[in-house]
Amino acid sequence: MKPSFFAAFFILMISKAFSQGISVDLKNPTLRDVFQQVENQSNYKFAYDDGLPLSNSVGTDLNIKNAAIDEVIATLNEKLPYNFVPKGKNIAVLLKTEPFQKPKDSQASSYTYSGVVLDEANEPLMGATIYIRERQTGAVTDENGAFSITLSRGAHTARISHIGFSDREITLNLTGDVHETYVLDADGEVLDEVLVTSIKNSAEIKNPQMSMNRLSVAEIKRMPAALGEPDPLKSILQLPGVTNAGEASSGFNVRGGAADQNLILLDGVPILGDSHLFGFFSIFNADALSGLELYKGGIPAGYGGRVSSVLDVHQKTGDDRDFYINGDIGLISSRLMAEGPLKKDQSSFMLAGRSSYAHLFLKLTENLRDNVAYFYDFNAKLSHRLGPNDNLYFSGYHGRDVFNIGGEFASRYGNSVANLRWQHRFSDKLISNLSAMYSMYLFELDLNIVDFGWENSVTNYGLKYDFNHYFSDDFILNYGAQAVFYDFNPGTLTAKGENSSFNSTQLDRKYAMEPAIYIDAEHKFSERFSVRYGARYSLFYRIGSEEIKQYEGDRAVVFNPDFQLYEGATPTGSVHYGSGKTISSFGNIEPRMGISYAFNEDMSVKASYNRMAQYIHLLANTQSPIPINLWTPSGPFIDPQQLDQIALGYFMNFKGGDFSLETEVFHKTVQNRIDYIDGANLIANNAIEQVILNGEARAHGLEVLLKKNTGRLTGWVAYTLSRAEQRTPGRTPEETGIANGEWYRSPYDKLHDISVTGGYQLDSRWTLGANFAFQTGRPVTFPDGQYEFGGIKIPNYGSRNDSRLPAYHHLDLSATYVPKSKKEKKLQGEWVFSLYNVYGRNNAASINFRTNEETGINEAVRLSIFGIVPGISYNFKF
Amino acid sequence: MNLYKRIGYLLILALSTSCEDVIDVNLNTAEPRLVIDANISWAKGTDGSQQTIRLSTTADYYAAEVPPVSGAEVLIANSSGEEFHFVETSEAGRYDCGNFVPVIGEEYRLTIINNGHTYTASEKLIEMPEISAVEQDGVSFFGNEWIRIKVYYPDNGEEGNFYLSEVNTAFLATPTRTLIDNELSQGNRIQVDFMHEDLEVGNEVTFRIGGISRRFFHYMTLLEEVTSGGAFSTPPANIRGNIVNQTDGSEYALGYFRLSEVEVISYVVK
Repeated sequence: MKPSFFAAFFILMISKAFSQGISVDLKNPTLRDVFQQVENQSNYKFAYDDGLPLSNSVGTDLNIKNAAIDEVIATLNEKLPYNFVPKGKNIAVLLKTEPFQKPKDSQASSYTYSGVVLDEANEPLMGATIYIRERQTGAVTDENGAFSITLSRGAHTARISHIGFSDREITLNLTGDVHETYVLDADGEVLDEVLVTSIKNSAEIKNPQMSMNRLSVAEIKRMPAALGEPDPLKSILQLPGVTNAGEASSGFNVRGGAADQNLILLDGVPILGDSHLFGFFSIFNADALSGLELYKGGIPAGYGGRVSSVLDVHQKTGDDRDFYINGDIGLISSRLMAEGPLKKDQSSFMLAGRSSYAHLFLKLTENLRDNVAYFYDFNAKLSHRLGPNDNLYFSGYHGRDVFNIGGEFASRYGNSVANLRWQHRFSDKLISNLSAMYSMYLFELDLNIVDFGWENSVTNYGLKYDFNHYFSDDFILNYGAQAVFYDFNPGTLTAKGENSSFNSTQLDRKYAMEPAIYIDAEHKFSERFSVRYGARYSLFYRIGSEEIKQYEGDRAVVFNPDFQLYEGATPTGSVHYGSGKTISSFGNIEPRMGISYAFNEDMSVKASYNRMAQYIHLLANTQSPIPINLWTPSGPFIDPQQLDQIALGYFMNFKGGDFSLETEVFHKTVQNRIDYIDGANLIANNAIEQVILNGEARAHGLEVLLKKNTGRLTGWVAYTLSRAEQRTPGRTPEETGIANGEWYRSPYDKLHDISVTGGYQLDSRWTLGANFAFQTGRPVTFPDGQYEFGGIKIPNYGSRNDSRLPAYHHLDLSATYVPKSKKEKKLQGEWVFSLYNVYGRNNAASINFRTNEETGINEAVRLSIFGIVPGISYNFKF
Repeated sequence: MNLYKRIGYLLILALSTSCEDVIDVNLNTAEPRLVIDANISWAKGTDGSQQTIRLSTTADYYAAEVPPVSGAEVLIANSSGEEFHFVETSEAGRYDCGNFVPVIGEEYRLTIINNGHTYTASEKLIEMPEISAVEQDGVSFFGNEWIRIKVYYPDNGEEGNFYLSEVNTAFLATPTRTLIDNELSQGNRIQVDFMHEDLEVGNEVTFRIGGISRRFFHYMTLLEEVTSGGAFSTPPANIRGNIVNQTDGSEYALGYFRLSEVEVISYVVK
């Protein structure tokens, strides 16, 4: 306890002894001050919830002289925004929950108070609250940091707060509409990474958005990562309802959905390939990002095109006042990020680069010279203020993986992405964003060993116009339109040299157009009841020029009843569609709805429904994805996937938001999920329709997320109980379908999934982090016998995905050390030590059944990817 | 692309502290099912009269041997009804024929009667072009110089052709199989490679390449998938061949009836 406390206490004791009644004379005191004074001068104690903001100023002066306790209570009730209720010798402090009564003359003189809330780096702050004390009303900023409130004429006090930042109080005297920009200062003078532990991530009680998780880059960086490389995509695996195919595997599965059903956006642009080095790392450089949101359900109508989830990843906006450089030297890669103003307070840049070290083949050979395997990526964001109402943003990404094995095998692949966005404010109530987007995934392969060259790609060109329309505090409308043009190159085969046994071939290019319009309303009916509702109307046109093969009865796959198997049909002819001619078209109305009902400030129930359509499909039938990423459009033989999902949830904050509990149940079904006939060859196949069958998928589950949001120890426990299944029934009674047409477990079905993530702030220098994951093993098919054919021992397989790999679990630890920085030195450094898979669990990535080459006996062989993996990296910032 | 998958697999091994180990996995054993191994191959320059068909059943996955099937009636008939009977030898489950007459493009029908069930399969004998050249060179692979043997033959360029190559040398326990289709090589000189880090000067390498049908190509592709495994393989499936149980369709037999002309060539590494 501080000496000043004793002094104050002493003085108060004396004052109490000399006066009969209670006197309080304080200028804009904090609640704590008020309570202390009253408690010291009476026998009464204040009783309140831990969440009460004791240190916040009450926003008014108190002047009570020699009053009885009930007079004091009456004054407090009148002046402070709380209900004070005497109960015995206690005074209960309650939040005022009765709805606000609008002044009668409000319609005559109401104005819009709108603005933008930014952090010190001029990043928009989402989730900041603007509280108007006199009105006991407020608003929360959206992803652009924007808010808008309707207020009556006259004086108001607005408190702007965001956990982790110092509050700001503003006195307004409204005589007309106002638009302001507020910059909040970080709470304290420590490194961002340390700050994070104090960011309150309590559950959003009143927002009808459910099934959504948000991670900041600081949280991502704090999690222990394999090989010490912080990875946003691997971090989301710690969230409930998110899994992947296993360690070192690209993609992720949300609520039993497939990896190609996730819409991954980088500053709004769809990304078509998400990994480096066959899935070891994601394409997202943590230094270049500000954060991400993952929507697992209740997806707003503004998003569309994939059925399972939306991962909205945001790049950092450069600081427009000061220059900063951020660097990171790790075991796998080095990263460098620079940001600063191009013109102070007007335009800024953020540039980041990352490259892995080129000699990752250490284990393979002593002779490293000829072999190369590395990746790199560049991120850029430029922002420019054109005027008070106009902003221009450019976002770019370019990344490649490069392999070269002795010049015989060379491969290069990756994404190139760009977005130009013009933000325009028509008025304080209407903001628009116009974006032009480009996204390309390219895969190249040279097999000089057989004189063979290969290239495939998919390119998107998009145009998007979005509007955010603030009608009132209780009604916001978001609407817009977009169109995407797709150019698919399924493969260009080049014969290298005259001796090549290959013919140079161009597989039929495919083209498509995907326009959509949407409208989305955020509607607050009362303090307790809010609804977000809307719909998206999406269209898809497969267009020429293309030669479309014709089949008897339009069936490109036929069933052979003699051998009980599916085979490609023989085309009966083909039809040529000229350039721009529509080959086939689809349309879907996608309703979306989310409801929340709050019992009180800390407890609510929510429900949501969403329908989504997906028109492009990733062709993949391998157990782990390969980076070739062949996307194909819907068309004459492939129907769009269509999802319906309902979810119900219960949300609760307790101990004043220090803890939160989010529980959800969901059920979803997907129509027209692609399945493949046995042994389908998907690569360099110009008649992909001959190996594809239309199936369906379903998933349901329960997710529980318990978080501790404040204090030295923060983190969460996530548990998911779920089942994901699919089936492809025969089209006629004679056909067997896939796996006898019965429901079978999807390859990413995980019955139990537990993730524990924690961070502990030991002292000002050391922060500790830990991750624990436990998952039911992935469904696999094990043999139920063997036979011999042509001298080969062949395993005979039982029912599909009827067995499971052993349970998957690992514990990872990290420790971050911030050396004491000297005040005069600008450089701030930080060491991150990590240990992945601490107890060395040999998790099975797969179990292969094979014949031992020496003994000739069959055996089961487990492949495990990671043993204990230590990591170390040094981050610096100046 | 198989090479690509293999490289990916190697990369995973190289990048990580990964390891492979043999573990105990308890497996169920399904009811035994008849397996027909009817590989009729006619090496160029021989009369092809000596042919063998083997019958067995499925067994527990870890069993050292598969049980042979004795006492079956095995015969092949050509399109004009001429029958070639296969007689069980002293080796149980092995049925031999000494008077088979191979004709390119001829459709043959296999009939097997076992335990009161009749199994049939029909297939054409597929032609194999002559090997036109054998070459040897070196390849730098993963920092090592590997010896590579290349064999060439012409594709006829008229239709979809499929080939199965089996390469063997003394240090290999089982032949290295390669499946070839001419979809990307229509009418070209087809190249078949063999390279191995242990290959040395003086080793004798035998190439055995045969023409096969489209359906057998698919069958063997699936077989390769289930026997090679690995993270990049497709989900394992039960593989149905071209054999039909005429008595009871649900009691199907495994295996395949195929007929190939084969070209056999031996090469000594220089």
